Parts: sequence; C-alpha cells; structure tokens
Amino acid sequence: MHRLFVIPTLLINVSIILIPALLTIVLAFYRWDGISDPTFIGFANFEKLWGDRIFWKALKNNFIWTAIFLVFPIAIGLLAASLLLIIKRGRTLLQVIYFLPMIIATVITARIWQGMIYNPQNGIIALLNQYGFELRDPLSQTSTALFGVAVVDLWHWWGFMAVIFFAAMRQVSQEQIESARIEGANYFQLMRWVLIPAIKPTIALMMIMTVIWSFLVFDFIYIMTQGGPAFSSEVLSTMAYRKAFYELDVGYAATSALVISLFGLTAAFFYIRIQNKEGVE
Amino acid sequence: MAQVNIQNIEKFFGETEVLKNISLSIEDGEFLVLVGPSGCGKSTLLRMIAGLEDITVGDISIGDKVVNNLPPKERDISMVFQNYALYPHLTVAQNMGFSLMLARAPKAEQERRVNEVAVILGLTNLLERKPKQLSGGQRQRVAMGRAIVRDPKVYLFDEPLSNLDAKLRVAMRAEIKLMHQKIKTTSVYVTHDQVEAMTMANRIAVMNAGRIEQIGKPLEIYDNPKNVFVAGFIGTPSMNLLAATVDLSGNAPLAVLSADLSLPLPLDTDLKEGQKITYGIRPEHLNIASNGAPVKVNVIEPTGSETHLMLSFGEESLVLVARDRVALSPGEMINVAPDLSRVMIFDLESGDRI
Amino acid sequence: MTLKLTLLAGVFAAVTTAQVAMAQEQVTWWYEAANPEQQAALSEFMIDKFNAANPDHLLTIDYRGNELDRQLRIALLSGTGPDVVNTPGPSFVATMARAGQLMQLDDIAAKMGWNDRILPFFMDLGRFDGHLYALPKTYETLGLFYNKALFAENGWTPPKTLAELDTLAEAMMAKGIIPFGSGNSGWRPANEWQVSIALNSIAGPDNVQKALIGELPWTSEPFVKAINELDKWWDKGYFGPDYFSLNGEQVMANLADGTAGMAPTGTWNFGLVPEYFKGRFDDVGFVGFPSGEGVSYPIYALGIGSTFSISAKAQNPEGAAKVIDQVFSESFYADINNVWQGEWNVPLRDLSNVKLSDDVIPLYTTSMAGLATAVNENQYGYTTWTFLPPATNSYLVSGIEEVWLDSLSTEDFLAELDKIFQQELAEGKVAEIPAR
Ligand SMILES: Nc1ncnc2c1ncn2[C@@H]1O[C@H](COP(=O)(O)OP(=O)(O)OP(=O)(O)O)[C@@H](O)[C@H]1O
Ligand SMILES: [Mg+2]
Repeated sequence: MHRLFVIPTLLINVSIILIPALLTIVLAFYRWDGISDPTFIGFANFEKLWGDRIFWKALKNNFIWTAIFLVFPIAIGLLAASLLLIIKRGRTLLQVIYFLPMIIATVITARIWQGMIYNPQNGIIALLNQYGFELRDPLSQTSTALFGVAVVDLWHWWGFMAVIFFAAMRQVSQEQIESARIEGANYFQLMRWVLIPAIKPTIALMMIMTVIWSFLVFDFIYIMTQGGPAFSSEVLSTMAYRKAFYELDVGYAATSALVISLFGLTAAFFYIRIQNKEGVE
Repeated sequence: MAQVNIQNIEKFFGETEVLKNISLSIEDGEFLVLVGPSGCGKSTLLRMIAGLEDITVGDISIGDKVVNNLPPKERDISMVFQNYALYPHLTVAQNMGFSLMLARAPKAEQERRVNEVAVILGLTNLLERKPKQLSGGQRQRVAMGRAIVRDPKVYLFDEPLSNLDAKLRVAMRAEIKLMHQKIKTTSVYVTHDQVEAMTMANRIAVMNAGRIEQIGKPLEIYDNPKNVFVAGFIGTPSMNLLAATVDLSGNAPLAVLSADLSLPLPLDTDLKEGQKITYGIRPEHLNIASNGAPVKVNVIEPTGSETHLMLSFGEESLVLVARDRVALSPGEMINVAPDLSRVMIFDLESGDRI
Repeated sequence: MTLKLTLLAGVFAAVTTAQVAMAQEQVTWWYEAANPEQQAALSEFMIDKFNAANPDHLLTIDYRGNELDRQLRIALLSGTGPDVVNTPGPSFVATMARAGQLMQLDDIAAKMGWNDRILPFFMDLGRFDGHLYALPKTYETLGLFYNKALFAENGWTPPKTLAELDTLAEAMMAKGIIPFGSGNSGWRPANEWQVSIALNSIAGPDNVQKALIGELPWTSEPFVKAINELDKWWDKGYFGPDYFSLNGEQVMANLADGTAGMAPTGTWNFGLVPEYFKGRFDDVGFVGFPSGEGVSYPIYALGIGSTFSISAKAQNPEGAAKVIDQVFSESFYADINNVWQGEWNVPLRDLSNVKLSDDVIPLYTTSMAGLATAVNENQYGYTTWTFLPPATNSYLVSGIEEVWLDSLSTEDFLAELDKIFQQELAEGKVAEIPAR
C-alpha cells in the first residue's frame, strides 16, 4: 500500500488523541484560570493533589465505583444473557427492553430516579414511607449517596452488558451447549463450564473497559449529586470538572485528569497484554 | 442397555412438516443406521430421541419408559456430534470425564473411568492436552471417549465422521464397529453416506423427505429395495434406472427403452403388455456380451480393482462395472446384457417394486 | 415528514436571514436557558422592538442552555463568541477584563448616559483598574419568604433577632412545621444562599467587606460565630430532613402548603410565587433575615445574577451597545417585569416612572422598593457568589455541607476557605469592592 494512505489516519490520531493528551500533560505543570496567561509552576499541582484530602476521597470513591461495576452489571448481564439464550420466544422484545434504559438520555434517567423514585416528597420512596418503611433518599445521605447514583447508572447499564454477552454467547457452538445438556449439566454448570469459559475474552474486555469507564464516570454523578453531599460522592472527574469550570483552576484539573488517565492506561495495558497472550496461544 | 421405540412420530417446525408418521423400533444392542439424503430429517429424528427437539406428535420410549417429556440429561443417552463439541478450555481428560464431573462423582472414580476408556481408545498419552493440540481423528476419538465414559443406555451419533478425510473415515468406521461389538450398547447412527451405512449397520433405515422408505439388514436392502428411491440410494455406483415399456409380443419379454434399444425382462414376471415401468439393473450386474444391446462407451474409469464404464444410447446413460480390465477406448461401440436374475422392475408411476 | 419540514424551514430561515443580514449588521447575544414563554417575552420586548427601532441592526438571541458560562469562556478564548457577553458576575468580569477579552465601556457609557441611569454602587462593581467593563443585568437579594397565613393563624410575627428566630423555629418544630423550607437538589450551590445570609446578617456586612478587601481573615471571630450559628440551625433541624432531596420548586410548594413556615432564599423566587400562591398572593410575605447582635436590621445581601459586557472582538460593538442600552430603559423594565419577575431586576436609579401591570404581585413591587431604600441607607451586604472569587465560592458550597454533616469543624472550614481566598486575592481574582 502506498504510504500516503496512512496520512489521514495519522492526522486523525494526532489531532484528536495526541494533541489534547499532550496539552493536558503540559497544563498539569501550569496554574491557569482558562482566561488569562498560564504560569509555569513545576510540580506544585502534583504536590497540592497529594495533600488534597478531597482527591483521596474521590480516588477511593472511584475504586468503590469500579468494584461495584465489576461485580453487578457483569453478573446481572451474564444472568440476563443466558436467559435470552435459553428462551426461544420473545428474544427480540427482551433485547429491546434490556437496551431501552441505555438509549434514554442520561439527564432524563437521572431526573426520573431523582424526582420519581428517590424523592422523599413525591417519589416512590415517599409512597413506601407512607406504608411504614423507614426509607431516606439515598442521595441525601453521605453514607449512601455514591451507591444511590450507582444504582441508577447500573439500571441504565446492565442491559448493555446483557446484550453484549448474549451476542458473545450466541457464538458458542450450539453443539457444545447441547452436549452439556445431554451430559447432565444444570443451569449453573452450563454457565460455569461452558458459557463463561467460552466468552471469557468478552468478559475480560468488558471488565477492563469497566475499569476505564469507572475512572471516567461523570454524567450520572454530576447530574444527581455533583459529588455531594459533603464530597461523599465525589469522583476524580467531577472534581476535575469543578476545578476547571467552577474554580477556574484548569492546571489542577489537568493534573486530576492525568491521574484518571493513569488508571485508564493501566487497564488498557492489561487489555493489550491479554490480547497478545491470546494471539500466541 | 435398552431398546428404543419410536411410534408414529411427526415433527413440525412451524408450518413445515419435517417428519411424517415415523415408526421404528431399535432392538437392544442393535447398531441402527439412519441414512438418507441431506435434509430428509435424520438429524431431527436423532435429536428427538436425545430430547433436544420437542415431539410434535407420537411417542418415543427408551427401555420401557416413554421419554417424551424427559430432559436430555434424564434419558441416559450419549451423543457424538459432527463437530465433536469438545470444550476447548478443558483437557482431554476433563472433556472425557465431563459427565462424571457434573455428577460430582468421586475424583478417584472419575480418574479410573477416564483411564479405562483412554486405554480402549488409545488416548492415554493425550490426556493432558487441550483439544486444540489434537488432530481431527484424535478429537473425534475424545468425543467418543466422552460418550463411552458415561456408559449410557443408548449412543447417538450424528455424522461423526464427516469432518474427517476419506482414509481416516474408513479407519474410524472400523473402530466404531469394533467398539460396538465389544460393548454392545444400542446405537443410532446418522449418516448420509450409504457406504458407512452398509458397512456399519446391523440394520439400516433409509429415509427420504421425512419418511422411512425401508428398514432392513444392509444386504437385504441392497438385494431387495422396496422402491426406486431405495434402489437408487443404496449401492455405488447407483443402480441404473431406466424408463421403459413392456413388450410381450416376442417370445421373450422385453423392456423397450427406445426405438432402437430394448433390454430383456425376466420370464417369471406378471407384467402387462405396454405397461410403463422403471427398469433397474445395478452396474455390477451388467455385463459385456456380444449378443447384448449396442451402446456407446463415453468414459472409462479404472479404479484398480474394477473398471467403471459410462455408457450411453440415445439420450439415456448407463453405468457398467466390470471386474476385469477392459481394453476399450471412448467412442467405441459395445454390446451389453443384464444378469437377468438381478433385474428389478418398478412401477414407473409409484416407484414401487413390482 | 415533520423532520423534513423542520429542516426545510430551518434552511429557509437561514437563507432569508443571510439575505437580510447583507443589508443590516447583525448583533449576536448568547442567553442561558429560558422556557418558551420567557423566550417569547424576549422576542417581543427585546428583539422585535430593537430591530424595529434600529433598522440598520439585526439582533439575534441564541439560547445556549445551562452551560452558557463555560461555552462563553471557551468561545472568547478562541476569539469567537457573541457581541453581547453575559458573565455570571463581577469576579469573572475581573479576570476576563484583565485578559483583554472585554471592551472598555467608559466612552459608550458617557455617550449613552448610563452613569445617570444606573445605581452607582452597581456601576462601581463593573470597574477594574479605573475602567468600566460591565453593567449588572439583574440584582437580587436574599431574605426570608414566609407563609403569612400560617403566621397569622398561630399569632407569629416575622423574627428580627436571632433570639426571636430561635423561639419561632422551636415553636414551628413543636408543631411539626419545618422552619426553613430549603433544598439544594437540582441547584447544589443553593448552600451559598444560607452561607451568604449567615455571613452578612450575623457577622455583618462591615466585616464581610473588610474580609473581601483582605483586611480581615475569614478565620476571624465574627465569621466563626456566623458559621457556628448556621451549623447550629442545621443540627437543630431547622432546614428539615430533606434538604439534599428538595429542589427550589418543591421548597416553594412546601412554603405554600404550610409544610414549611419560612424560606431563606432569594428574590428570584418571586418568579415562582404566582404559580404556588395562585389566587392568594396575600398569604406570602418577604422580609429581611433577622440580624445578629451588633448588626442593624435588615441587611440585604446583594447579588448580581449576571453582567453585560461587549466582547473585545465584537463584530458589531455599536449594535451591542444599543442592545445594552435598551435593557436599561424604563420601557423594557416595565415590559419584561410584567411577565417575568426576578430575572430582569435591572438596577435603574429611578423607577418612579415605571408602572408595572396590576397582574404583578404587589409584594414584588413593595419588596423591591424596600430593597432600594435599604441599599440607599447602606443596609446592604455581599452575596458570596457575586463577591467571592470562583474557587473560594466553589469550596464554600461543598465545605459548608461538611460542616453541617460534622465531617469538618467550623474553624477548619474557614481556614481552608481563607487559604483559597488569599491566593485568589493575590492573583487579582477578587472584584473591586466599593467602600461602604
Ligand atoms: N430448527 C428448525 N427450524 C425449521 N426447520 C428446520 C429446523 N431444523 C431443521 N429443519 C428442517 O428440517 C428438515 C430436516 O432437517 P435435518 O437437520 O433433520 O436434516 P438431515 O437429514 O439431518 O440433513 P443433513 O444430512 O444435511 O444433516 C430440513 O429441511 C431442515 O431445513
Ligand atoms: Mg443432519
């Protein structure tokens, strides 16, 4: 192939990946309000970050978030996907239903949960309270705010996992599944010994992407709690956003963004390693 | 061990009827081969025995038990698939011991059974390998091993050899036959290859378009096909089947194939003058004879042990198998005559044997 | 089908606009989110009137949604953006003016006579390094809305001192009424209203002013007292159990139905009164928040919701000046306030010739008049979102939650606040505060 063919791809890569990435790295060494001229301040932003208790809180929350999303959407997704595989009728309809939360705009999903479910005055929680359940709006408690948002994100997310896993499971040879049924496998044995091993690469990819996504998580948290109350649901991205757009401290925001990328890169590294290993095998 | 009874089975996929009123009883310890052209419903019937397909109408019983509503795992059967269906992440030993593992049999018991069967199948050295590291024949053997380890009442095979090359297929065919003679478990074997059917079966059920055309011992079917379909399907090269009209005007009855070609009919048939028939004669029962009918040699196929001659007269063509070498060249005219005792007459319209 | 039509209409509109624009000079203005009625009001009273009065200019308003502020900053940075620039407040103006993104308005102001028309205090807030860069769009204040009917029923009167407030709040709590209807769901910075009230009404505006010009640290005693008092209210449950779950509209609904007795919040809520006190405007009252010891009553903390500037890179500065001039006209004030209260409280000096329609609730008119008097008598304070620089104010919003929820002491909160403030002060990010 002619070498010139590479140029468009190269241009796209440089302009949409490399330049912003480099800019972020450079900015991390500056104090900049996004308006006036930036000042070089060396590692001051990094030192400040190290000593910032809110940064550590946010980082911890990112880890909690990652743990939640490594377990629940993947478990529910596998369960739902296998259900799709087993039933013969209504598959398409179920897939559409699974997918529905995914295609509702984030803002709408968030508002529905906030206003119609969690709201202690006119949400379902209020209704349950009338029937004697002692429930509080999870978003209003420091101990539960992060989980309250996670539930909503989960609700909107698991169907996607289910559909992905279902697509992968459909690639599993029908004969392997039938053979297992004949050999006496029950549902869990079928999952444990046939389906999950067969779609392991997909699961691994999804787990790695989950780690990357979990460190990037922003929209639901920003819309529902903006990191509150009292930073209890703060994550790195909401912190960076606040720094950049409310506190006009773009350099510091870039530094937090670098930390986010660090975790993303680590996950990506593992992904590439797994892929290479598979190629060799 | 058990017998399998299939009674008045019908199968619909939606509106399409795939199996039409099938009844078949497979004796205890028998090796029954289901043979027929692609799409005739062999796999469907087998999968219904296995419990992988629902039964639309009719009953299937294994042993004395009607199994219509039993899930596959409760039918005590084993199935060997065309694509082996081995689990790539498990070793040969784990694949073979899969059913015991699922049933949580004691470890020692699992090992003992797997080793036993591995010895029989010559897989002992491969037990720690993954399926990826095996040849096609070895994989097929592992798949059989997995079935044998279970020690089921019935073995079901769905074209287990069709992914193998010709030579290996012949070898495996013999191995399976040997295995069956040893363990004598009732087996149902699906194939579309009639040679496999002839060589392996105790009995053959010839299927066509959702029906069983004929059931019988291999040679019975070869010698006495009930209809044109079976006659044409069993035997290679297939039987010559020619449309003809009966002529009883001369001293010997004749089948008139065309204005200038007639073949003799057996004397003891009760055919009527002018009756429309299909005249059947196997290629190996057609001989070169100087007093025979004149035909043209088109192609000569020496196979070594015998010679196949593709012949033609007018629009029609014939095949002749000669045991001896023949010194002929394409385009030559020869005369051929049937072995009269081997001629089979079928009704032209219904295809039934007369 | 409809989509096609819409597209077609859009293309058609674009084509016609382009043709007209050849003859006229376009003036562009980006506005934040506005509902359809509000957009209709702006169309009628601003766009149509402006275009009719200025045939050589063509005004277009672009509704950019809630992120206007961010979009503007990015656009101005890259040298694009609209002619008329709305910023969220003076501290943003300071930074943008120093970065050379805004036009100096001194000459235009002189020519247009703005100095005579607009309250001087607010004009001063738009000046930096001796030059005028911005005019306030709307000014707002904080106070105490209360349910008059509920008060009358119980024989209560609006409190003027903290002691009276406590007595009243206890009485309300005893009856299961939430003293302070409030909530920050949907608008998390609602916290800053409470902090602004505490700082101005308890620590006092003089101390706040000193802190803003760097003469008094935020860690000093009056502020500790103010925040401690605010924390005490929280701990006693004055703000109710659902502060983090309720939004502004629910707060108003609670006030209207007597679930809450009072609501410490801002004048922009006058916009919600017609809906929640429909047909019973007499049931709602608005007074100054009670003052702490040594602080005169009432103190109205002033805020500027937004400012007007002209982009230094404006395509049509003359048109932009004329648009701003129209905003500060008596006729526009009357027109827009008749239908949309709270958002267009332009600080005109003389409202005596402005006659609002009878549909506007009387409370609004009287409250605004009272506010003007108070400002005149120096009874004004400083809202944090208008006068504190961005990082300080952003920290304050989350930090006060930590104080309320007991994960941070008042002293630590103020210490961190002061640290951030002093850095921003040193970097010139604090608006110039007029002397009292
Ligand atoms: N799930 C299904 N839905 C609809 N039709 C089916 C289904 N499975 C099989 N059929 C049809 O049933 C008929 C019999 O299929 P079957 O697989 O039993 O054929 P077969 O005899 O095994 O053929 P082959 O030798 O090619 O394997 C075919 O016409 C096939 O198209
Ligand atoms: Mg088949």
